[in-house]
Amino acid sequence: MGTELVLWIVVATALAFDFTNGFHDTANAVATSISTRAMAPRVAVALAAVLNFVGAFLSLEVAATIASGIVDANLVSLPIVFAGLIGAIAWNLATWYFGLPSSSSHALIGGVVGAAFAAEGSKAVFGDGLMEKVMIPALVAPVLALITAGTGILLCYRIVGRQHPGAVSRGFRLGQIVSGSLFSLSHGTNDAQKTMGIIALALIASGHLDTGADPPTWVVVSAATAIALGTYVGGWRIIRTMGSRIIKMDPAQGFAAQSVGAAVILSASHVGFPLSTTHVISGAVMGAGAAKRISAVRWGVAGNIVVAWVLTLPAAAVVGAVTYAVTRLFGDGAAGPVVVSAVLLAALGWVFGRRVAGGRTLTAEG
Amino acid sequence: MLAAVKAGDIFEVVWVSLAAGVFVSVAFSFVVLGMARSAEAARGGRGSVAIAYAGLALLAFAAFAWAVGFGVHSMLSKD
Repeated sequence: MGTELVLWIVVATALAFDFTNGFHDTANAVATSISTRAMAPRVAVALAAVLNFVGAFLSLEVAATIASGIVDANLVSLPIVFAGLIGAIAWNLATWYFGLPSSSSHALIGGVVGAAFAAEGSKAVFGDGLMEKVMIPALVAPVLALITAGTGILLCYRIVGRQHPGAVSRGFRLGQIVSGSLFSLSHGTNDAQKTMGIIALALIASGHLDTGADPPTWVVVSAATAIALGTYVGGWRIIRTMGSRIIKMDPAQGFAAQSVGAAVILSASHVGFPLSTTHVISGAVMGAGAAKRISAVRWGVAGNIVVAWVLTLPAAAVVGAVTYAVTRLFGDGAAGPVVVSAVLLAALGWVFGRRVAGGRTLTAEG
Repeated sequence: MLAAVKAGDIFEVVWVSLAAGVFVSVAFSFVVLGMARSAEAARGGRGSVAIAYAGLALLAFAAFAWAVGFGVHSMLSKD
């Protein structure tokens, strides 16, 4: 009974993480399109939500379970996964509150690493894996996207420079619909898999699923639905940061940032070196702005974003470790996860209640 | 620790991403250029020039669509 309860708490927490992953990363796909008025905001997030939902069904690469090669899979238990998810959700909510784009994948890895470290000590964490799968890609992604988008926008301006601005803007806005759609589809195929992987891992650990089996249909549908709903809710604070606070972009810059971002992510994925969509699109937006004029980029905002990236892994790890330690205070059973979940839900309810009482709803636009 | 990261992988990611990103941007810029010039030529009554620029836009769009198709294919062939 205890294991069953922990299992369903982990499933619910994984879906909650999936939801935050969706609304946190909406900006990656839609911010530039909204900023350049290629699409109306609600249309943009609705399209992104549908494509995230579809994307979740297109690939079932559940083998890419979270933190594989970074923590010792043999030592990962349901309480560790639960604590890791709480660490990731906490970081996603904190960065959303401050309107800072940061990697949900790195937050999840950080949460699991912290919980595993608290549970099993340093032997549970592979330093080489962290370096190879988190730190090096985190350095490569934004710099590569910045240089590529900078080169791309300079060539765009060179090619269309003497044309009528109205025709050029209309053309690039159409292009943004394609590049934004590609981005959303790619996000669905990548990020919904993380949640499916976590739920599959929990089902295997509790004896409900055979090792190596495909996830049940309800797992795929629920993960796809959670990420699509999160995307539709839209992380408007991050959309504002990405779309208009880093640079004031024209449609050509928006197209260059978005198409280069999609090209970089898919090329890296094709080569087998997945990069964070958040890091790539942020770098691409900065590159598209800096190539036009270095001072066009608000480097203070860019600096805050970079600080958030640096803090993502350690901050999520600390929350994951503390959550694990708290759950252990209540023993091996379901009591710890139940108490932690109840306290967090109560805290969220309190925040929501205060905002409603103050005349503001807890939407991302708030 | 750095030995764990294959320098060749990073180099491959860099050049493939750079090539793909620049290719997509340039291809679509030629679509926009072709469409704009074609419309301008059509308004000026220069039919053959309009057709030539429309052809350029079509070719560039084919290249752009190929890149998008390749991206979708990469996405779907991960398993």
